[in-house]
Amino acid sequence: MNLSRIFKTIFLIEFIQGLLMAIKEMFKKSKTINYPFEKGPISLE
Amino acid sequence: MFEYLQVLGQEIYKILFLLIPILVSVAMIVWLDRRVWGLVQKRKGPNVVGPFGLFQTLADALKYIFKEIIIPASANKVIFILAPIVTMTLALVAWAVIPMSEDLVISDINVGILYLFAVSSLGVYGIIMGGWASNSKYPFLGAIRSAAQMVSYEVSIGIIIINVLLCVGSLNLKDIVLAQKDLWYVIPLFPMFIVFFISALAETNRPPFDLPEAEAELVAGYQTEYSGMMYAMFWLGEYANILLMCAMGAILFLGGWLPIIDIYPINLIPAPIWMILKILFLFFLFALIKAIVPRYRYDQLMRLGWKIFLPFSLIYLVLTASFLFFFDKLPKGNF
Repeated sequence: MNLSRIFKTIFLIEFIQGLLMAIKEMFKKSKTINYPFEKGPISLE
Repeated sequence: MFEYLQVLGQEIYKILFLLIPILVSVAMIVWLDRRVWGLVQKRKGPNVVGPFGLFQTLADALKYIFKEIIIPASANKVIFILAPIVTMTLALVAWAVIPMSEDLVISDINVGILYLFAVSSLGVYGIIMGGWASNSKYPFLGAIRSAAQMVSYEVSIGIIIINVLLCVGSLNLKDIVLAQKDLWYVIPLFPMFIVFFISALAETNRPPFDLPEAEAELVAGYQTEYSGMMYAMFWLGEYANILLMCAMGAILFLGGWLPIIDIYPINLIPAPIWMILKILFLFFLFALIKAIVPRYRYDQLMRLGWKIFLPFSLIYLVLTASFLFFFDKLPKGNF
């Protein structure tokens, strides 16, 4: 393990980046549709 | 005789006053968990039953109640039935000593933290019993894994608790909270808070340490053979344990029911609400972590527990003790 790797491991840098990214993603619009109430272009009527 | 009954009635009233909110909040917390998980993955999560889907868990519980309980022919019936009961009881019993505010606690015992530690360690028995009594491969493997895992991480949690106790000088949970009036222990003991949090994840079999119930490799680990209400009890017990770990984290490091800063508009908020907010904050982190991390390999898990967390918390213990001794800050009050 080189020095920057050890630094990243000890201070959980990548983990915290992932956590922040997850929080950011939470506030974006969801990709799925709310099926029985909303219908997509190929849903049955 | 009449007085005895009166006291008994009062105690039962107090216990119900604690248990019912806990069971309801466990239901809500399952919803929160699934919702956060969904939102991070850009799904909607449960949002149909009741407002925002809040009653989803109640609907699920109702479904479980009406399902048939299947007991495998080769299972050890007594232990098989006892296992979920043990899990759930132990998860709920521990709440007796958790103080929600200065006087909102069922039993204010002087060895509160020891009791909490003992009961949460006993929790592993429910899982071992369930896995062994099922008399089937996957549950047995899951039980072995969880036994080894929970025992390993309990060691480091114990040492972290000693770290806090050194600063407080009392095993009473109220004293632990009141000792943090000036400074929450999350600041001086920040590395220990992180280690405690990760150990709590392992202790409650949450991702990334959910090896005992790994769906992909062990089907569902120790709960494979369970169905209906018995499965639901395992599930409720698991979430009650997670809430308990969050409450423990809040009491040991985040100053329990104390407000963030003790100034006028903020300290008007009642104490139990602060406690609940802190528990929710910790649980939110639990839920986020479930969404973002992959599962550990078993040898990595063991290495993390024994070779990293245990020496690290031991070294920190020595550091804390020497710091307190050198600057003459050791708690003197009660001895």
